[in-house]
This record gives sequence, C-alpha cells and structure tokens, in this order.
Amino acid sequence: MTAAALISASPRRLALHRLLRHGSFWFGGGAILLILLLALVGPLFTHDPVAQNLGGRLVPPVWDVRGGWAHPLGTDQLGRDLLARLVDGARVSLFIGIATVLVSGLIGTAMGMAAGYFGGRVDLFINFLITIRLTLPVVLVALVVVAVVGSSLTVLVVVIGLLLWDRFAVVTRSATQRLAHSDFVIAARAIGSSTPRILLIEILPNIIGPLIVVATVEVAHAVLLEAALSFLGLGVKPPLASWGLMVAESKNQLLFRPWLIAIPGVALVTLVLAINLLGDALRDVVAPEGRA
Amino acid sequence: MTALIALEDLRITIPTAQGRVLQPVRGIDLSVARGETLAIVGESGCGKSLTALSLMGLVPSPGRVSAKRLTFSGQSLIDLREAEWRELRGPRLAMIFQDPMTSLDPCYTIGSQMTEVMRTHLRIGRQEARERAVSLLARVGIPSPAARLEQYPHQLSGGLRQRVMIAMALSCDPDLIIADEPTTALDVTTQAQILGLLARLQDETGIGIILITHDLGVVATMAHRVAVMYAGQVVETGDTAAVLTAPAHPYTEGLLQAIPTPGRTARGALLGSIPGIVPPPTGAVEACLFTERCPYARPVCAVPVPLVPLPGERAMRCMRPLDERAGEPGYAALSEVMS
Amino acid sequence: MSAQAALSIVGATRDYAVSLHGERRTLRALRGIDLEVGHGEVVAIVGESGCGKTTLSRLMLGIEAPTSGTVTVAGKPISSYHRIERAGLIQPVFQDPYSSLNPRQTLGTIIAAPLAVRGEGNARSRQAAAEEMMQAVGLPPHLVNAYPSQISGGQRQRVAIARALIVQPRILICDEPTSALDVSVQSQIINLIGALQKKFRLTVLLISHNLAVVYHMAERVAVMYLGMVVETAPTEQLFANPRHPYTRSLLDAVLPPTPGRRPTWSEAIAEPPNPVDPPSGCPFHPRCPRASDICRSAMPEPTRGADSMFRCHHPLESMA
Repeated sequence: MTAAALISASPRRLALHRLLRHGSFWFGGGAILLILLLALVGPLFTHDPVAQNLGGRLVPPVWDVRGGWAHPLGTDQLGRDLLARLVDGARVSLFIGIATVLVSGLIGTAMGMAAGYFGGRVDLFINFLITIRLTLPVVLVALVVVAVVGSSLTVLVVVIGLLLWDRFAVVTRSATQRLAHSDFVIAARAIGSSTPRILLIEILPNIIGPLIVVATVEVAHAVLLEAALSFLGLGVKPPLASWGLMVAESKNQLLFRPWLIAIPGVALVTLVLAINLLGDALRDVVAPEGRA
Repeated sequence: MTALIALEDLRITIPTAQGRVLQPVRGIDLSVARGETLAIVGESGCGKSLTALSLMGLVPSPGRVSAKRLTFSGQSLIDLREAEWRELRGPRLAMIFQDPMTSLDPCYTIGSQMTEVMRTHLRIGRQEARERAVSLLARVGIPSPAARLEQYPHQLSGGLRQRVMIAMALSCDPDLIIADEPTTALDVTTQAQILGLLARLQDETGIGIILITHDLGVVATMAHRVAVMYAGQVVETGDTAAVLTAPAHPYTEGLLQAIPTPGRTARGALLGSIPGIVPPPTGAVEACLFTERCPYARPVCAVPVPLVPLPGERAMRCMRPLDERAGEPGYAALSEVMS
Repeated sequence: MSAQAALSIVGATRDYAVSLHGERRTLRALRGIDLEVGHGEVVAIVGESGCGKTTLSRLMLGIEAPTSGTVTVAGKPISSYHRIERAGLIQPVFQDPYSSLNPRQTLGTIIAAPLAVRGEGNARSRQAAAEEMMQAVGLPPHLVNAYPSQISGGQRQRVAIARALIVQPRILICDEPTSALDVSVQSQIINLIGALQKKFRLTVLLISHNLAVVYHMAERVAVMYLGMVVETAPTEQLFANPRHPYTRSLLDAVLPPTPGRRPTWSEAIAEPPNPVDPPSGCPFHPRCPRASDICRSAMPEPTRGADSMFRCHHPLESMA
C-alpha cells in the first residue's frame, strides 16, 4: 500500500512503461513489424509472384552453389519466384488473421458482454451457444462449409470468423460479470446512463486488456487454420499464394528439394511465434495475475 | 516491570524496482510486559502493520529489518533463521489478522487446522489435540464446540471465524499475541464481544497483547499503553488514559478532534481535520515529518525531532511543548478555512 | 405529511431467489419497510451487515424494484420516472471510493458524466462545470485530467460527491461514506457532506453502522434489523432513551475514544439470524434478554409516538 501511494503516473503510462521493458514485446513486435513491412512494400521489389518461367524451374536458393541472386530463395516447380510468393503469402496470412479476428472479436465480445451484464436467461442462452460451438470440430466444419460453398478469401474470413469467437465470449463474459455489480457501474445506472452507454463507455474500456490478449492468440490460431485449409486444397486457390498452399504444392519435393517446404514453413512458424510472444508480453502487462 | 518483548530503533527498508529505497518504519522503540496490552495506532501507511510483522519474522521479501535491540523474553530475535522463527511462532508468539477468512484454509475443517498446529508444536497425539481443540473453542465462547470441529471456515460467520482464530492463537499457550485490526471487518456488536473475549483471556492467562488498530475507540477500551505512529515513527507514547485525555503531540490531538464523540463534540459542528497527506516513506528525515500538516508548525520544527520524555512515563516527538502551544488556534481554525 | 415528503417508502419488501445446499429458497432481504423522509432532513439508517440497508438504498435509487410495496420520490413512484429524470432527483455516494470510480476515466469525465448522459452542453462546457464542482467539494481543479489511481482515498470520495451533486439532486443517499477512509479524512468528508447539505438544502439518507457518525450528522435515526425498521426516533431521543432492546445493544457496543470503559462481556454469541431462515415472531428474540413466549410467536406491531416508532413486546421504559 505504501508503494501504491507513491505511484503517480497515469495507468496508461504505467502499462506502456512496463511493456517497453518487456523482452518478448520487442522480439515479437519487431518480427511482426518486419513481416508487415515485407507484406506491404515487398511486392515493389520482387518478381511477379504468378509469372511462370518453365525454363527456370526449381532453381535452388542463393546459398546453394547452383543458385543466384536473380531468385534469392529460388523458384518453384512452375518457375515462379519463391521470395515473391512468400511475400504475397504473408499478405494473405495477415489479412486472414486480422479480418477473421475482427469478425470473431465482434461476435464474441458482444455475446460475452450481453451474457455477463444481463445474466439470467440471456446468460443461459449464450452459454448454450458457447457449449454448442465448443462441441464443433473447427477444421471439420470449415472443410465442410468450404467444400459446399466453394472457396474464396471472403468465405474463408467469414467461416473462420464465425468459428473462433468462443474464447472472446468466455473471457468477456467473466470480465463483464465481475464489473456488472461494481459500484462504478451502479453509479452509472444511478446517473441515468443507458444500457449501451454502460456497456460501451463504462465496462468495455475496463476489459479491453484481456480482449487484446485473446485477439493475439486468435490471430495466430486463424493464420494456422488458413494454412491448414490451404494445404488441404480448401483454402486459398492458386495462383494466389498462401504459405499453406506453398507447402502443399511442394510436398512431393520433400526429400529432394526440402527448401521448398522449409521456407514457407519457417515463415509460418516465425509469424505465429512472434504473435504469441507479443500476446505474452501484452498479457503480462494488462493481466499480470493470469500469468501461468 | 520486565519486558516480554522489547525493541529499540527498529527500521524496515524496502528496495523498489525503480532503485529507490522505501523506509516504511524509521526507528521505533517499544516494549510490552506480561499481562499488558499495547496499542499501536495510526492511519494506513504509517508502518504499524509492518512493525507487527517484523515481530513475527514475517516481513515480506525484499523488505529488510534492522534494530539495535529486538528481544523476546531475553532472547534476541535479530537475524534469526527461518527454522528458529518457526519454533517461536505458534508456541510463543501468535498473530490474529483482520480477515479470518483469508487466514483460515478453506479446504480444511476447523478441527484439522487446529489440531495440526498443536500436534506439530506440542507433540501430542491426535486424540489429545482434539480434546484440547474442543476445550479451546469452548473457552472462546463457541457453542457446541465438538460439532464445530467438523465444519469448514465458510460455514461460520465472521465473528465465529475470528473466535476460531483466537482459539488457534491460544492453542499453544503463547506469551504474546499480536492482533492486527482484529475487529475492523466485524459489526459493532460482534466487535464488542471479540474485544471482551480478548480482555477476559488476558486476565486469565497474563498474556501480553500488541493491538494494531486505527480505531481510537478500540484503543480506549482495550489498551493499557498506546503508541501513536505517524510516517514510520512513534510520535507519542504513554498510558492510554493520559494520552487520550491530554494528547501531547499535535497529531494525536488532531486525530481525537476528527472523531465525532457524543458528549464531547457538538452535534453537527465542524469536526477538526488534519489537512494534507502522509509524506512518502523515502529520503532522510531532515525535519519533523508532521510539519506540513501541523497547525503549530514553526521554523524550529525543521530539524529531526527526537522522542522527548514527558512526566509520567510518557514521551512525544514534538519540538513545541504543550504549554508553549497553548492559546494558538490549532485545528479548529484549519477546518473552517477548508470548508 | 406524505404530500410534501421528499421520499416515502410504504410496505416495501424485496425477495431474492437463492439456492441453499442446492435447494431453491427465497431470501427476503426487506420485510415490509415504512419510512418517510421530509425535505432537507438528514435521516440515518443503522444496523448490522445483512440487515438489508444496502438493498433498501438500491430500491430508493430505483436501480431495483421492490417485490411489493412502493417507493415514492417527490410525490410519484420512483419507477414512473425516466432514468434521466430519476437521476436528477436522487443520487448515491458509495462506501468504497476505490470501486465507485471507473479506473479508466479521468476525474473530469467522471464528474461530468451525469451531464454527458443528459446530453447537456458540449465537452468544453461540461469540463468547465466539472471544474466548478471540483472547487465546490474542495478538490484542486488541476486534477481534472488525473485518474482515480493518482489521488488519495479522501479525494476520491470528494470526486464521488461532486459527481452526485453536479445535476443538483434533491436527495443524496450516502452508503457508509466514511468507513473506508482514514480517521483524519473521515472528518473532512463528514464536514463536507454537512456543509453541502446545508448549502443545497439536500435531503440526506445516511446509511451507516458507525453510531458516532450518525449521532453527529443525523436528525432522525431508523434502526433496521433483519429487513425491518424496528425503531425510529429523533437522534437525541434515540441515543438518550432507546425503546427497542436491539437499539440498546447497538448503543452499548459503541466505543468512544474516551478511556475507562471496558466492553461488557456476554458469553452468548449474539449474531443476526439467517434471512433465508428467519426466526418466528419477533426477529430479535433469539438475541434478546427480554424475550418471552409472545416474542417467539407473534411479530410485535409498531407502537407509534409523536415522531417515533418501535416494534417490541417488552420495550425499555420511556424516560420522557
């Protein structure tokens, strides 16, 4: 309590201060920034990712004696530049990751807040929905829907978004429940605040921390799911590039030209790891009591 | 009167992550005799709870305790090892906390928690420990004590839980009980019962009690002597009746004027109030720590103030004796300015 | 009198569904409350934890509806007001200023929130109103952009009071406004509420277990026990000559900071009964030194005096 009396910085500045001293934040955030930069400005400097060159097929990367700087990461079985496809794939991965989380975050947060604030029957019903959602095998449902409706980026975003809201709902529900009976919410009701105002202005800013943490986990989750679906041929359609698709297209080259699989694989691992590290750092800062 | 526990110049320092050093306790002298109740009174952040924890060897890391002298029945407690502290805690020194719900383990019955302590420290058998637990619960006024042994903490009311805590504190016949705000979480009627219980047990056993509280009403009812703490120092100490009827230190005077008291303060009249806040526990003590909030402060107060003995085994830490301050306006003037 | 009462509660009850060992039971938190508070009056409601004080305050704020009975504010049932109208009539101040202020909002936003809810003025005029209010409650206006975590407990309680008063309500409900504060700060808040009450002619309901504070501030006291008002009387009269044995035991438990009195030790555990399973007859009989057979079987009817009331079969003697 003596320590608390000494703190005079605003809560936001304190959180920022803790974040900036966190190693995982610098590592994860730095890697994500790098990938984001590559995805945004990379296409200006690389070859056309869909231009085929059957004469220059399966050129190895620059570190191989047969490789050269014309294609730093080599070419694939259709002679397309691997670096250009990697950069293009990064755009797809990041787009899917961020867009699906916007969809699932909106659904899950709205449901969780309604359940936590109103309680009673609303809570029972939403809990029922959450339970149903948890019984659905995500990959299987996504496969079925994509197989029936056909695949496009929009379909992928909607399907994954509609499947990954459960963690948002659960976290939001318990956080809202805790706040719904706090004195400041009762005070807000006593000053005549409308229910939307209470939810959006009083409660939401107080649960945004854990939500950001969930969002990072779910971005990683969505990136992996897209890769898995594309690998199975039900995600992104060629000639559009996707890291999962790149692995799938080269799977019969596994023994002879391993770099074709290793390069998109390493990219995928790096992105997911970076997102998780950033999420860890954010969690330590916004919800240190939940540290496992 | 030989002291049961005596400490001289107790200091507690806590290094912070930012590289500063907090000094929540800055040089305290205290002593308690057998059969005596000493109240340590002060507001939050004055260091009273840390002082109590240091007497139990429980100051949390990275806090550091140092003292010129810290003896318990003649044995020095300075630099005791954890194993040696464990020999003392329970059998010789016991502690009662503010919230009995957090100091009782919710997963175990009252009975198993009580008997475990006794079997460890008294080396007695299960049956004997059980019988002792029943008689202890009866002694603290708990009805049908045998049935209570099978209950879990959450099945008892706050008042009953605090009685169980007292029974556990007494279970190994300690010489000294440290009670940290033992009744703050309780209703007034229950508070009176618990305080009455402690007083009766003291009369029966001659146990020494250190009572940590912020409530001068509790002090008046329970304590033989009182030490008023402010910003990590004792600013006034002496016989309770003397201190409360004629406070010598301006801080004690301010506290007493701030409490509405039927028969002493007029109904609806402005109460005295102490302006400002407690100074942060950092840096060297270069002046009286109360200066900024004191209506009697003068240039003479800008020196580290020693604890000055007064007649009648009292002492206070103020540069301006009572007779010198007489006639100055004091707190009443301040509260009018503020409102 | 009821025509000009600021607040009147008639026969209010409030039930909650609870589950006790997996069994559905009804917890009757309020069991028929009658209370009338005049304009500009300061009335204290005292009682132990669990007696229904906080439930009563929520009914008065209109945040919860009574199961039966009515709560009338300024001549109309509280439920008939629009929430914004209601907010302009009656406002709360809570016990714990740490939890009653949104940690993510600045003091200016918190204090001006009632104006924002009404859509009054623009951001700048609301900020100005907040600063004016801060001055009125003794807060330095430069704190307008500070967060609750940056100020002391006493200052937070001043913020809560400023928020309650910015829409100039007629009634202030103070639920233990000082019990979470340090002694030296308590007196400042007591002085402040007293001064504001006089200045704005506020009707104040002071909910407290601290009888010394009640004695200092209130003109009239209502003593609650297990969801009922068991005694009401003008403060001086209640303290000098309580009629209900429960009031007597509350007064006996007060520990004034004047030396020389040890509490009377009673071997009997005297704790409030479980409201899910209330005792028959008079709810106080299990703890009452005067209880007889009739107390165990029949609920005592109110005995009314000029401006007082008590419910007891065996009241303490009147000294008047």
